[in-house]
Amino acid sequence: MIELIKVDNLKKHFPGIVALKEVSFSLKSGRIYGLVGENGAGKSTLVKTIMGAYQPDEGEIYIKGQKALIKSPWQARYYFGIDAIFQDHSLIPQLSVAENLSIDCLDKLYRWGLISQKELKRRAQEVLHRVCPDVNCEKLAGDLSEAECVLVELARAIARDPNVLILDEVTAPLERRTVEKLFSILRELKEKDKTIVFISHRLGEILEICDEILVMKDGKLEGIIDNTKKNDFSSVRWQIINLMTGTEKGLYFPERTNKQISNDVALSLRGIHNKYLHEINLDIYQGELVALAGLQGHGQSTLLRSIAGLVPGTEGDILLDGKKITISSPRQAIEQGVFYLSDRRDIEELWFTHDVGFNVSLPTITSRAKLGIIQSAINRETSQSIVKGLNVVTRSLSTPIRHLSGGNRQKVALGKYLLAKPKVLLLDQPTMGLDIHAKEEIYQLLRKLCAQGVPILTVLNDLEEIINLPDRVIVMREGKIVREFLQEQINEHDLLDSYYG
Amino acid sequence: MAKEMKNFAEKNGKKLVISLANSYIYLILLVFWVISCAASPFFRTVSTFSNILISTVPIALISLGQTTAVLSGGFDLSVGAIASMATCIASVTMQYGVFPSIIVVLIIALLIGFINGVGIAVLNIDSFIMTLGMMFILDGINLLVRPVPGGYVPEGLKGFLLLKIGDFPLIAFLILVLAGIFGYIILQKRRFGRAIYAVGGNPRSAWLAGINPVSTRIKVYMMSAFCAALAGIFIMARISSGNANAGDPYLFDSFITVFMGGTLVTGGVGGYGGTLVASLIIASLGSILQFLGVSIWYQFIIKGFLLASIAGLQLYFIRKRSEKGK
Repeated sequence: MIELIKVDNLKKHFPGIVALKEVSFSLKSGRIYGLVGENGAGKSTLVKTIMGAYQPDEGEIYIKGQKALIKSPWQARYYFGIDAIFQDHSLIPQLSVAENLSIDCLDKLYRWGLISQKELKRRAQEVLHRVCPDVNCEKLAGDLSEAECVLVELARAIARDPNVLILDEVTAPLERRTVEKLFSILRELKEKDKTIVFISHRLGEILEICDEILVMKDGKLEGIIDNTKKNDFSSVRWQIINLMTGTEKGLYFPERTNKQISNDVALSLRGIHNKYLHEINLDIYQGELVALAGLQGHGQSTLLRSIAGLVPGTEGDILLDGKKITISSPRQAIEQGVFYLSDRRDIEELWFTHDVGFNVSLPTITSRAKLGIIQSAINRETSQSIVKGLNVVTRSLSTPIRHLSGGNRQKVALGKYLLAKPKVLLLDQPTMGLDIHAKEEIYQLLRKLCAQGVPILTVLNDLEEIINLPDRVIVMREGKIVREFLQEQINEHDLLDSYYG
Repeated sequence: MAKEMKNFAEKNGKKLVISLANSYIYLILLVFWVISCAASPFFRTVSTFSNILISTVPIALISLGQTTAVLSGGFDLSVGAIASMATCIASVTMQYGVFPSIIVVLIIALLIGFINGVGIAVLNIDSFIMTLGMMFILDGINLLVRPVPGGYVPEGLKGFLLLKIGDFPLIAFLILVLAGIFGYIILQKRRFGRAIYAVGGNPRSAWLAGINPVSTRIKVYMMSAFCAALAGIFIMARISSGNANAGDPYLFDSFITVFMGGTLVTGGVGGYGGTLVASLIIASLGSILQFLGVSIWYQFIIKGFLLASIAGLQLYFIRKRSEKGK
């Protein structure tokens, strides 16, 4: 058993966020490693850095004791023997499976200067033979199912015979039978003294296959847990979740106002379903702050967008103050008093090249018009009052929005809807990317709105926020509501446990 | 046994339907010809078809380059201007010898294509903007070189390119066949072609799979310019002079033929076969409208409608397909 790959003090940051903070570890041959962590813990960034798709800001990678500068995934594969299946698939949908399998050696298959179809097919069958012999290699990759894509990519990776194989979230679209097949292939590779890094949100799978488990949180490696014995699953699971939850204290949360929550249902969802959601039933009371939690991409954001009329093909009933309403476009949503704030603030919520006044006033501007002419004095006054009321730090209304800090931009984005007197607010990660101070201001603001009786349904991803901010937490998994926590029941361990199937 | 036969029939029946659906363009051509022959007695002559073949050549050549540009996920708006440039420069240099002149024109075209490609692939200038700029630069240069149409075009070159055996335009026909074979081989049977599809489909996936999107794109624009220059030389032989605006109408034709031929605006899907047949359709359309006495202005209007409606239909089908897929 030799040390195949060593990562020393790896650092990487992207504008505004630190993705990797001093990550160091080493991986031995003939072992299967698990890599777990919350959304945004830095797993995918780590994989992409090792594969050369990103360059680290600091730190070194050693392959078999030699310092390695990996400049591209191509180099990682052919010079360093590291291969990865990325979370975002890298098959090219417009080419056939066979062409995808030989994409990097098409010019070696020439006969009379033309790509030999026979050779191409023969090679494809050879590669697919072990992993998924029933995939038709003449099909376009774009016509494959998610599961087939994963298997074809796996076959391609194995055919290159890498020393280190990294699988980033590949089991998500696979059914149990296929996962078992995948595991038997991984065990075979392990016998051949290869190193495998297996990333998954399904802890059960991690415990089943991995010898050691690396836990990441906030871009840091929190610890490595030994699982070679594979007999004490519940204690190892407990250890993993403990490492994932260790939080840094420091945020101040406003007091919950649940005393003021009345028994009047404000927004009620009955059997909301579409391609991504299954039968969502939910009641939200006047002045209540409800958080949607769960692993990213399990339907929380989609639910907000579905209520706001942004997901075509959504069926089911939405009742506002007991009356049934239909929302099939953002305009209708706004007319009914249902306001949605996207998590892609700078792209979807703000007119980035315009000033603060324009951004605050535009959605409601017609209400301040007389005979179709906008009354600019009144308009300015109204905008000014909302900007002041929200404590937006800006030189004036005519400062371009892009000169504001993230927190102030978010306040402006919210402010433009507050002018319209919302009946319900749907917020997608309202504090994402903000610093601590700005976060706390947003918390205060949300609480204030609740105290005024406006119910808020918000997607939150940060554990600390989920535990401390809302009156109620709804956990979603695979498009379904799987658990509900009242404020007094929320505890980190149970919460995180409910995320995983 | 019966079941196997049924399976076989189902499988191949489906294949037949698919291949028929993919070859709708041939049906359009056929229907179009039948209607045209019925509508105009002048159209029903051999010499008409021979003229159609000749006027297809420049469209087909320019569209070959445009097909690769669109497949790679971009546009090349400078093809018309490059064709004009070829007529201007060739008509000036032909007096020093036919072959040196053609070689000079092609080298200049490759250089222009290279500049386009570097701007687009290395400097990340949008292909629309880069080639639009190039188009105006070339238009200016063309007018400098040849302010009024004219110049020397050797009779031998004209006679060769427009050679007719009986009524049959042999060389034009051969050029079309060669263009078809070349387009098929380059796009379907060579690594370069497969790389074009990969880059047009998803540049990032292509990069992750070890394809160099930068060099692929540079080569695409070089090829596009090269094809346009070849077309320009043919155009010059036809009009037997150099003309700073001779290539302009072909820019529009190249887009109609590419999209009509089934290559998608979004890149990565399509091929040259459809484009080639669409070139025949567009050449025939010009010819029948002329026979019916429709003025050139109406031809513009008809072609404009055609382009917009084809692009609209494509987007409709893409959306339908992606909805079905998800």
